[in-house]
Amino acid sequence: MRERSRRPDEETEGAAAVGLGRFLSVLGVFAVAAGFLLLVSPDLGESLSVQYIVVLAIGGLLLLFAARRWFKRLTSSIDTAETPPVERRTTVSVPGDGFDKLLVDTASNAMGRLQVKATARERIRAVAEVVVSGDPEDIDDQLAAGTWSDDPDANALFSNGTASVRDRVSSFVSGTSILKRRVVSAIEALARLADEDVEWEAEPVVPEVTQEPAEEGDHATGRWNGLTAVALTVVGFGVLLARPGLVLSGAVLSGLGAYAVAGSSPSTAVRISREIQPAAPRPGEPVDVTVEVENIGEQFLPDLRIVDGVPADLTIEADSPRHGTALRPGATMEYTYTVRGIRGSHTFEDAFLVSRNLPGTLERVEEFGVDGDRTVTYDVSSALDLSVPLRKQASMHVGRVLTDSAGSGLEFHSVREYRSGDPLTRIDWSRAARGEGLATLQFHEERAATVVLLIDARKEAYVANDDDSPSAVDRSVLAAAKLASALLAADDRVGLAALSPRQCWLAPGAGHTHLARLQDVLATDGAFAPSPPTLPYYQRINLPALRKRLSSDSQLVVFSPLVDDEVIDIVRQLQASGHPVTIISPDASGSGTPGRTLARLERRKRLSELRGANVRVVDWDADESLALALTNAGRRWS
Amino acid sequence: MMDEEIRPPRVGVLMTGGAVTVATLAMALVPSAAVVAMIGGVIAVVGTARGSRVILGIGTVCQIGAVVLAGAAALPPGLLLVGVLGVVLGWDVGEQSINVTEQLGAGATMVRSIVVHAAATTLVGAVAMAIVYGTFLASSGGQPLVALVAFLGGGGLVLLAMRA
Repeated sequence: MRERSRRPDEETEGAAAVGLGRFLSVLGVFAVAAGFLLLVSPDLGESLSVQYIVVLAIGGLLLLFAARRWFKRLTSSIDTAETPPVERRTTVSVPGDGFDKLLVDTASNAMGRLQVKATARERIRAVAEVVVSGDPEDIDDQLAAGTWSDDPDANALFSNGTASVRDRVSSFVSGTSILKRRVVSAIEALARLADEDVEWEAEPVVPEVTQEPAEEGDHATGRWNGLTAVALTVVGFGVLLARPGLVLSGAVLSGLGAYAVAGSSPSTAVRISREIQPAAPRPGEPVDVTVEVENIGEQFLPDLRIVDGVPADLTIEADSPRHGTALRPGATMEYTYTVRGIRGSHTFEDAFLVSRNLPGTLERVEEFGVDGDRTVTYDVSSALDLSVPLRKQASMHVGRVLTDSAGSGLEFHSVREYRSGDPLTRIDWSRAARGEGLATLQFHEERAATVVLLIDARKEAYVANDDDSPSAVDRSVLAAAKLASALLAADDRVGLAALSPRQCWLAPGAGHTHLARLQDVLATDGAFAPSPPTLPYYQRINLPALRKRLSSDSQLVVFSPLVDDEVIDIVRQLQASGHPVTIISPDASGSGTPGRTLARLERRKRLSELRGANVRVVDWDADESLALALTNAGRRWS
Repeated sequence: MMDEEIRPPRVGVLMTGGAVTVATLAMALVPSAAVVAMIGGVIAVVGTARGSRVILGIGTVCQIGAVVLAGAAALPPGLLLVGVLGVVLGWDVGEQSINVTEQLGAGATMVRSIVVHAAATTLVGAVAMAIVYGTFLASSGGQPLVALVAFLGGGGLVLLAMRA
């Protein structure tokens, strides 16, 4: 009994209480035995005379003890082991949620408020430069003068106006700080100016706090703690009112109590295996996972609960990765559930096992290694009839990029004076016939391009429009796979690199083998893992290495959601070192909260900055196909 | 699970409902107790269906109150024993449904966890009842008071020492 009491409050009662408990229980057993003896031979008790008052006293005492037990039960709770939240482990955030959280936390202290104010003003000012009409140079004057918006709250953020009494009262009543209201109004005003929709959801999304799963080992659940109180109450009333029925009820409850105390230690002698079908699905294809559990012990497992270790970033499509069952020795049970991922390589974790004994008083928690399949890798190879508009930077190999250099080709370039050795087919014979002398036609040379696909896979790039959408990295990787196969089909040379602390470099190459290798790297390389890297990206360390590897004739296609200014900086440096850049930007900005709207406006600003820096930009909406986005963008460039 | 809403499976709710109905019917001879038991039973079932231990607990306490009432009104011990067993079983199945749903979530299969547990408790309860009631029938009439005192005092002490 003592070994079972793992509840902290009982441990603090110390050894004295334990000794007393043992003494009382021994005494109780003796008394019950004596009672039985008296029942069997009533003559034995004839000689004893006990007054009824004793019975009353005992009844009162029992009720008193019952009250104590009730109190103890009501102030404690039943413990159930917390299981891991395998269904909603997502490592992707929505851009701007950090700002929303900052706004929610503002009210805490004055320093915090100052910081929020400074951050908000700086970011809003930067966006205002492009959104507010007029000379960007004068933006500070406009903001300070309050002429940029009709909303007094929005203007007050920059004009440092003191809050009126009415403002203070309404802020007090609504529970929204004045600063927060001003910031939100300013963002709203900017969004209106930029023709964005401003529909706030009721409350900004605050990430929920998930509890840590229970530690491995045995835990007492304290499940039957209330039984003693109930039994004592019933017996107590039975004694006081002299009702045999109630006393007998107490006896039955004691029987159940004995059963609860006698519960054995739960066993986890099982073998778990997992089967994943198909192991190499196409992007977005659902995958069936079958988990088989076998009781390999000698003991009956009355209550076994299994939570399979679904990798983060796989979503549950159908059924549940959790299962509760009971298993005879040697019995086997299996269950199936369906998950869906977008791409990448996902490794399943150990299963989380909770085994309870029959009365449910003890539960054993164990993280359990699973036999069989562990990984599912999404295949990225998908043929796409995509024509990719490339920049006019090419290698010396023959290909399909129209260059500005004159030579042989199809599209007319210019006419020059004949030089001996020019091929006869390119002499402008009609001109010669007119008697104007020999001239040679020149065409735009068609050459192969060397394209390096650079995927932004920094921590910051793991963002999505909402919690359920594929992340920008997911979309980038899939797009890169399509682009690579299209480019290689057009005889261009394609290389691959990651903008990430987890380095990845595949030198430009051509041919089927190269495509297969490239797809393999995209599917399995750690740099493009479905979960973000833990380390930050250091431009100064990682960028020079990349620049050194780029050959002088290579151009870059950069995939980035453009959630921060660092990418812009990197793109500018690359372009300055002679590598023309096309940027394909999967739009991962959300809406509905002030922070998300601000982040969306900031992304728009970055897009226009890049366009200004002579970078080709493809703004790729979430619900738009890549081919369509490329076609639309290509029309704008030509 | 980590769901804010714990919705135990219908089987668990139905079994809880069955147990509290048995308890209520057993006390039908004492109308006041039956009414209290019925109210308690409904609360307990609602508590189970909504996955709330507090509501289930309130319902169970009501039902215990009904047992005391019925016992005080001298309900035949046999019926009272059935009543008390029904109350405990109702709570036990309700609690089992709640804790298994808490860990596994509403979408998972968990019927066996609940049914096996309920069957075990029912069996143990029935055996305990049979022993107690059998002893009572075999010995009723003219038993010495000392035997009763020894029973009560001893049983009480055992209960107190029990830390399940």
